[in-house]
Amino acid sequence: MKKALLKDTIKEIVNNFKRFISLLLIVLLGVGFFCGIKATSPDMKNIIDVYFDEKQVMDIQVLSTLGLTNSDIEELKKIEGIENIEESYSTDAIIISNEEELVVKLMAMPKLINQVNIIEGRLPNNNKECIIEPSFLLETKHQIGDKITIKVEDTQDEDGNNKPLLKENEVTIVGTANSPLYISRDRGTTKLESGKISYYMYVPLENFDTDISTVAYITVKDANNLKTYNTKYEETVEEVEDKINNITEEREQARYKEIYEKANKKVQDSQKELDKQKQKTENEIKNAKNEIENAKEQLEKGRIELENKMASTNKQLAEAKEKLKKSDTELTKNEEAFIKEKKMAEAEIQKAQEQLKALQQLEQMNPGTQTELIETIKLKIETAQNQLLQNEQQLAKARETLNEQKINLENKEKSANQEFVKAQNELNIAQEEIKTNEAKLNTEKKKADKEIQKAQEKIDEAKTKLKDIKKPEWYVLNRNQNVGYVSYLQETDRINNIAKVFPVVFFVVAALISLTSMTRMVEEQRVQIGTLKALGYNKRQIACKYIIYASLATIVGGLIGMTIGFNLIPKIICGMYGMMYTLPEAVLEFNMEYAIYGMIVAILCTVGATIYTCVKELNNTPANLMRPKAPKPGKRVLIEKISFIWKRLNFTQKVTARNIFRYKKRFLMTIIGVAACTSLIIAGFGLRDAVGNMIPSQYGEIFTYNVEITLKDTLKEKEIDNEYEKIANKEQIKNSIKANMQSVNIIKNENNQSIQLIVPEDKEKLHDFIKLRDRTKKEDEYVLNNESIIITEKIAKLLDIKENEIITIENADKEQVQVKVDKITENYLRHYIYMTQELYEKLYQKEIKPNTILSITDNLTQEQENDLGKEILKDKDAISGVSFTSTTTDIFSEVMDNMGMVVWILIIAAGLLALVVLYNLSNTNISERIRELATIKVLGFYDREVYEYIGKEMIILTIIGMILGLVGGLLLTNFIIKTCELDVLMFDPKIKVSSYLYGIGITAIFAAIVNIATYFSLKKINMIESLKSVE
Amino acid sequence: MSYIQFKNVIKEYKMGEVSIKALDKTNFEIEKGELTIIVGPSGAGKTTALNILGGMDSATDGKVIIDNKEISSLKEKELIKYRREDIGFVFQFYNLVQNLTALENVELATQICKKPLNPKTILKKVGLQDRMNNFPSQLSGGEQQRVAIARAIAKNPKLLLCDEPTGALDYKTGKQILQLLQDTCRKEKMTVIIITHNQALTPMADRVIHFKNGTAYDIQVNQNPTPIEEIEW
Repeated sequence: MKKALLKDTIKEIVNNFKRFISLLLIVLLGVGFFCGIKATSPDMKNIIDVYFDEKQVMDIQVLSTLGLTNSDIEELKKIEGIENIEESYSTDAIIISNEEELVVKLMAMPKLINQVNIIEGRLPNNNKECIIEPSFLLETKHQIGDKITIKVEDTQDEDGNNKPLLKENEVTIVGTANSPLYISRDRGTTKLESGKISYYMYVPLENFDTDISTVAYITVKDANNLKTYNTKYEETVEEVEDKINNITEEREQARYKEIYEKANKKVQDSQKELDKQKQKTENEIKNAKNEIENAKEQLEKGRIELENKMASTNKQLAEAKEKLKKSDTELTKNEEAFIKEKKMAEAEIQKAQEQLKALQQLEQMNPGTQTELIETIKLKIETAQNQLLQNEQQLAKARETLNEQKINLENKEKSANQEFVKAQNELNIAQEEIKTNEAKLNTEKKKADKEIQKAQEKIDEAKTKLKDIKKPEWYVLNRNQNVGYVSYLQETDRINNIAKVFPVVFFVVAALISLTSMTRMVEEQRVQIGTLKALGYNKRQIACKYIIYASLATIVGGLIGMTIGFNLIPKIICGMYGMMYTLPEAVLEFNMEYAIYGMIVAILCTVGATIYTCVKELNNTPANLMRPKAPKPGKRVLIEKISFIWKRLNFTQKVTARNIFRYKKRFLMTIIGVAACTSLIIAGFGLRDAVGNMIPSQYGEIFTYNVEITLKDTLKEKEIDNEYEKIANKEQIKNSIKANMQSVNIIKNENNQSIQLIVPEDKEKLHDFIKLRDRTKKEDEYVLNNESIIITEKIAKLLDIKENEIITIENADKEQVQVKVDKITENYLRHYIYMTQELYEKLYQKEIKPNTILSITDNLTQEQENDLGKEILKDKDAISGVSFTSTTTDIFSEVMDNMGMVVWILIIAAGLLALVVLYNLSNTNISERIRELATIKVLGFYDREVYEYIGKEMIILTIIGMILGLVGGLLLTNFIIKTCELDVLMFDPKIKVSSYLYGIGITAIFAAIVNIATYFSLKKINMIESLKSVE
Repeated sequence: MSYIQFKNVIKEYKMGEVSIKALDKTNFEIEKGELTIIVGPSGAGKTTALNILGGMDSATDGKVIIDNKEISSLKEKELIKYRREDIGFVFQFYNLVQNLTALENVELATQICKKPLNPKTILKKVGLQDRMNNFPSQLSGGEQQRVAIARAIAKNPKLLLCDEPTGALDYKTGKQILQLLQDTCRKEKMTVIIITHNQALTPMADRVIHFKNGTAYDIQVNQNPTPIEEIEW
């Protein structure tokens, strides 16, 4: 290139800076957007790759339903291709924080694989320390240094006895850390509490007092060098996975054997023990029985003896009595005889005494006469008296003796009786004792029998259980089973899909803008081109200037665009996802591939357009070129032929109409630019509507219940009814319905979607809990019938199922039935089939019982819901889970916040696009028609009129663009929805009127900004300069 | 007092440090209804003077009074109004709006005036009754200039200013255009000012103003102007 030409080119840029800038800007936008959006997905993927590499995240994890033993690990270690293997322990636990119980995932501190990312504090050094995820501290107001108590289910020791799992249950938080295993907010589910895990925490592996590990983390050789999202990586890992799968059966069998044998031995041992026990008990009972028998005999003997003794004693006594009686009678006779004798004796004595007296008197009269006689009589009396006394005394003595004997006998009898009573009593006591002993023995025996029976039952149970010992199942999982990881990669794919469309819009506009700008530029310089041609420069040399001009604008714009694009867009998008995923800061990469692609496309657009215009002009002869170009001739437009319209237009309107149709390129560019702008904005808002409508529609209009209570499937019909009553009677609960929910599958077109079958107990009542209706005609509600089913819209769409089609449904037991689809119902989240109980029973030929209760509660706060949930869950035997629909709603409000960002990005992009396009248009328009504008200014058009003269065109084109943009917005929104939509959900494709209004309104604002700028540049037009000459 | 007074008008262009005086204390007067020709070499300041007269440009200093109105002190908006109502312009390159037909080009001017003349009548007067609905590209140079003149006259201006109206035309057509301008002046009693560098045309004017180096150094008044058809050059 000649020096002069180069100089000219540089000057051209300086002189036509506005044009240069607008070209540069559109390229910047195009390339920036292209590179930025294109790079976002790889950048996002890269973040996770780098993070996973750094943290040595496992490639494979092996889990076993019965845990992994050391020999399992040893076997795994032998597998080729494994780089590292780390056994670890994890379990669900409850921690008590501020009197609230929280469910956590308790994991062993990783040593090599799955290292954590310490955010604050340090790693635990001993069993009394732990680390926990950062959000725990934020949300519970705990601090590093606080102590928390971990409650965890006991484990079993070697003998199968329970023992605490943890050595230390009270641990101190020494730091916070993020785990690469949990990059999304999802912490999984648990059987504990409300079924939701809130946080994860780590304690040293040594704190787990067990030999068995729950999981083995494995890294695969060379996998770290591969990108985790590549098929190459997957293949590498799969190879090792296959090898592991090859040994799983063997290991499962080994573990099963080990467990079975251990259990079996235990059963056998206890059976032996029991048998021994039984024998012993039996012996003991026998002995006791014998003893009692002996005692009984003894007792009988004693009784007989006593009776004998009593009889003999009684006889003796009776004899003695008889004797006494005889003696008594004799004595009495004697006494009576004595009394007679005495009387007689006394009478004799009396007589003797009277004789004596008489004698004595005689004596007195005749002393001494009678003395002898007297003495004899006296003696006689005395003797008689003595005799009497003696007899009396004798009798008295005899009486006394008799009495004594009597008393004696009586005493004897008494004591004998007493003795007998005593003996009897003793005998009675003995008997009593025997009785109680007997009873005791009986109960004892019963008890022993019972115990033995119980023990036997237990053993029998254990024996049957032995049969039930399930073979342990190994799960060989890779990263693709990590919910967070997978959903994150899905997000990146979605971004990638969007990246396929958006840049196209910008590039099309860039091409159009370059075309108009460069055409105008070349046309403006016809004379110069002609002169150069006349001077002998060849076409290429002349064209070079314009190509350089365009290339320079493109390259500079492209480079700036790339720099901004590569840095800003991934950062913003990653930042948005950062709210949902815990990942390190984006590692932004300059993606050479996309940079080159972007640049090539941009250059094709701009330089292509330039070459096209140059070739057109350069084919003219120099003479032709040096003459002013014949202005584009005026032409009548089609609309003039429709005279009834044309007549009605006023003069300026006619001018406008003609101008619009005259400059077709500009017409097209404006419309495309404006339509794109409006479409982008509508798409932004539309997307927000689509996502935003989804959850409120699903959980507000369609699913009107608030809580789903899952019952244990062991419950009997009656218990279910009881439970239902219990729940229905809670004061917070307004209405409830029983239903059976189960997972089913539709057999069609390789369907892999899991579908929930809902069989309500009462098909009429279902209406209060789940609305079945047409999406477009909402008032058109469906009711279930006993012949056919109702399915949800998305699965119908996915599997191309029409109303009245017969489909095949397979339940969890792999039983297939065929049934007719009655209606397709509105639904946004997951897939459902609705069926009546009668139909189910008819189809499957078996009874169905409810396993779920759906309830509508009063308006509850989060706390009240938690309380209610806890209250319901207290019924541990009957309830297995409680889930509130508000939880889902909450998660989605977060997603909505992120959608706000998307809307902003789209508005900014759209705005930039509109500004660049309209500004460029207005600039070209002005420069192209500067003489015309100067002329009307000279004619005395006021500034406003001058603006209207040209602005009306712009306004009309903008309005047409906007109208097309409405359609474009609808299409674009639907496209994005279709691309972004996951199979399990359906966005509500209804775009709110307000979104269309926003689209138009915001476009109008951008158009207004350009129009104001136009007004001022029109005002600045210098009439004299513009009209001076043609040159 | 004259209809048009140009008093000590200075027009200075500042280009960085240097200032160039396009008009340096220019003085002239023109009477109402006169056909005036301003003549002089390139860069003498003819067009500047005409632009100032036409309200397209303003003087740096001095007074310009037209019909007792001092236009040199008008503000921008008043200047537009002045152009709109009092001035008709004819350019060397016609400056027709390509997208409008002959009639529409005239209407473009008349629709903004207070007392416009009928566009069709005017076009008939300039001899274009048959080409009214043609676009400029379908007209010859002379015809285009006639449309331009018609557009200027149709506004019924006080002043018809023509800047080298024949510059782009051949001899014959140029003569026809000048005839038209002379006729307009005579018949419509319009004040017409024509700029030309062609000295030969001066006899047709009532008044000839000679420009040189930014001043009107000589003003001649022709008592008996020559009809244009008699002038040859």
